[in-house]
Amino acid sequence: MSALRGSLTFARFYVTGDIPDDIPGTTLKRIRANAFQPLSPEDDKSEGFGWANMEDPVDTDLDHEKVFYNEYVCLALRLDRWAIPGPLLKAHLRDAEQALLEKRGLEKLGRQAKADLKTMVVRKLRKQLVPSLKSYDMVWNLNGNVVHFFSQAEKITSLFDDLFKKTFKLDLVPESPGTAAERVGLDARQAAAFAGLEPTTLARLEEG
Amino acid sequence: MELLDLVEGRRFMGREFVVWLWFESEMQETNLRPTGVDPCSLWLEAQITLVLEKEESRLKGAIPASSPEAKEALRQGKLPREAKMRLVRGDREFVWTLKADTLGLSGLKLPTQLKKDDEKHEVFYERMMLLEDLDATLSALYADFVQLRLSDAWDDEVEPLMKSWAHGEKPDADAYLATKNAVLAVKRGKRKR
Repeated sequence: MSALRGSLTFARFYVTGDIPDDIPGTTLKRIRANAFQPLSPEDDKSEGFGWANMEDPVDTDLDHEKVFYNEYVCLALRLDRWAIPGPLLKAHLRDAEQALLEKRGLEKLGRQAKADLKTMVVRKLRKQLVPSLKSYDMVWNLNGNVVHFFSQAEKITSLFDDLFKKTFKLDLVPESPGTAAERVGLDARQAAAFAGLEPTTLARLEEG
Repeated sequence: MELLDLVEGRRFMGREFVVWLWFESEMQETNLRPTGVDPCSLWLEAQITLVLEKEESRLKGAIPASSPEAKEALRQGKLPREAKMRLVRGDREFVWTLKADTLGLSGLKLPTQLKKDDEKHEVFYERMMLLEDLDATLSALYADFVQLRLSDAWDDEVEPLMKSWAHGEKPDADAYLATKNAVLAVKRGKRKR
């Protein structure tokens, strides 16, 4: 999901913690250390994620000019995934099983042998495929320390939260009705009212 | 309050915020004056989803919030989980769907002037300027809602007026605005000090 074109769908976060004054000067090395690393067919994992250039997620060689736009930190969370179509995997697995049974003169394979065979078939197929690539932009305004992350999917925002914390050593508080209310700046009386707040209903009691 | 309680335990405030915006828009004939930012016109349009536990009413149309079904859903105790909105300020128009439980926006259309072939940084800065302009307005509206919601006036005056509005009676708009302005005047006074 892009910040640069089309309509926007996003979640907001507040950055908290000991925020350095010079984010560009102190974080580029860590951003580069957490840049996306290409998946290998030999990997056990089926997906990988890391930072990429917001303007071109294929570009993971990040430098100052690609990341810092005046008061903004701009990055894309790139998420690659090996996606082998189910019927393709099934067909190749069936052929491989048949070949192994004939080779060994067996009628049936054990559980471990099946698992090993699946790993081998998956790796072989991965070499013939390209992982799917998705990217989700992030824009952090250093003036207000508010982050716009251009996805609302729970799994993706969770990956983003982990990567952001790992990279910047700072916390992210998700915007929600409760966290936004607290940021309004409540006095003692309002804070007490907020703590004991009960939901409003517009139904009248007699109507149940 | 722990973060988890703050997030999960106060999600209902998002639904109340959307219904308050709806009420506020109708009481002020869409002309809103959020504290600290420029006035704007705002109304609900095209679609709204109201829920109570697992019961859901999904309404579509030009202005579904004006339909009898929408008010009926409120009378049943349902509140908006998401609503499509339009905000107009000068010659700028923003359209989006507000997700009440998270305050997240989806499908936001910005009134950009630059085209994608223009200088890439300029395109980015224009989009962020517009996005942050809308953010500031929504934050100001939410702050006004929170001030009102946490005041004694909510239970004593605002909620009864909103109930009356939901039940098809004609609430006293002047009384509502007087109450709201009195609550927000205290807030503005505090801000000045």
